[in-house]
Amino acid sequence: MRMLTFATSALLAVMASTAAEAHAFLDHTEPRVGSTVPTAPREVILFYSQNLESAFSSIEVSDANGARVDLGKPRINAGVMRVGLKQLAPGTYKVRWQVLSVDTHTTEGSFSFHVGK
Amino acid sequence: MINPLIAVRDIHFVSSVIVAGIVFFDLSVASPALRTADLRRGAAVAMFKTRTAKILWIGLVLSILSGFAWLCLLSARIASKPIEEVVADGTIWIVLSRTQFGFAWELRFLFAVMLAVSLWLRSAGNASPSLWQRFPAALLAGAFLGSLALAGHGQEGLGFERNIHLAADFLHLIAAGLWLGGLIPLALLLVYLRRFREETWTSVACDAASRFSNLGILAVGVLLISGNNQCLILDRWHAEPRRHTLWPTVTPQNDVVRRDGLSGRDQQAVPAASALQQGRN
Repeated sequence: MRMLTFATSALLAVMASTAAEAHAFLDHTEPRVGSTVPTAPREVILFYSQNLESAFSSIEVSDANGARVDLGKPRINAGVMRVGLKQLAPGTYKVRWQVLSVDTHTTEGSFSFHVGK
Repeated sequence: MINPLIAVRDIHFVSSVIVAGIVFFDLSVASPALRTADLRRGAAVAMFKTRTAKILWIGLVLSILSGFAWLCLLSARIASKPIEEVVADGTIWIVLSRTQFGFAWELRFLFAVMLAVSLWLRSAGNASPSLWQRFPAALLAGAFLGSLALAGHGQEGLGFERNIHLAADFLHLIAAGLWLGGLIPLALLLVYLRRFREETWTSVACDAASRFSNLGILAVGVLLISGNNQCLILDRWHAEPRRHTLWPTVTPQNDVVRRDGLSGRDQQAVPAASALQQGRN
C-alpha cells in the first residue's frame, strides 16, 4: 500500500502545474502602425503570430470623433484579420482590436494611422 | 487563490493520463507478463483486475466531467460572462461548434464514448481478452489523451512549425500516459503479487518490472525530446513578439519611434504607447 501511495503522490506531484501563457501577437498591419498614408485605404489588415478564432475576434476603426468608419464584420483567414473601410477623409483614425487565438487566449490592443499629408 | 480553470485542467489531464496509462499497461505489460504464468486465475490477478478496472472507470468519468467543466469555464472566460449566462445564452455552443477548441472537445468526447463502449464490451466478454480485443481500447485511449494537444499550446504558431509543435505535443502526452499513467497499475500489480505470494509471483513481478522499465526508457526519451522541442518553440513565441513587435515602452503617445532592428517583420514605425497590446488571460 505504501508503494501505491508513493506512486500516486509522485504522479500528482509531477502533474501539479501552472498555466503556460501564450497569445496571438500583432506582427504587423496595413496601413502600418502610426503611419501616414497619402490616399485613403479601402481596408485595414492585421497580421498575427497565430491563427485566430473568427467567432470571438473583432475590430473597430473610428475617426477622431469616435464615429465608426469600418464596414462591420471582419474577415478572418488563419492569422490575418481584415475589415473594409468607408471612404475616409483626411485625418487620424484609431483601430481597436480584440482576438481569440486558437490556443484560447484573448489579446486586445489599439493603434492609429493618419490619412493625408 | 486557486484558479478554477487551472484546477479543472489539472484534474482533466491527470485523469486522462491515468485512463490511458492503465489501458497501455494492460496491453504492453500486464497481459504479456501474465500470459506466460499460471497466475492468471489467481487471487492476486483477480484483485489487480478489479482495482484497475475501478480506477479506470472512475478516471474516465472524472475526465469527461472535468472536460465539460473546462468547456464551461473557458467559455465564461472567453465571453467575460458568468457560467450560467454562457450556458443560457448559447455562448457555450458557439465555443463548441465554431472554435478549434470546440472541435477538439467534440472529437475527444467521441473518443471517450468509444473507449467506454470498447471497455464495456471487453469486460462483458472473455475474462482474458485477446490482443485484438485489447488493441482498439489502447488505440482509443491514446487518441483520447493525445488529442488533448489540439486544445492547447500545440496550436501555437503557423504553418510547418505549428504542425511540428502539434506532433511533439501529441507524442509528449502519449509518453506521459505510457510512463506516468502506468505507475499506478504497476504499483498495484506488484503490491497484490507480493501480498498473495502465489506460485511464480516473483518471476511475474520481475517480468512486469522489466517490461515497464523498457517502456519507461522509451517514454522518458520521447518526453525529453518532445519536451525540449516544446520549450524551444514556446520560448521563441513568448520572447520574440515582446522583443520584436508592439510591446509598450515609455515613449509619449504621439512619438513615432523607428524601431530599427527591433520591430516586426516589416520594420514598421510604431507609436509605442498607442500600439499597446495586452493579453486578458
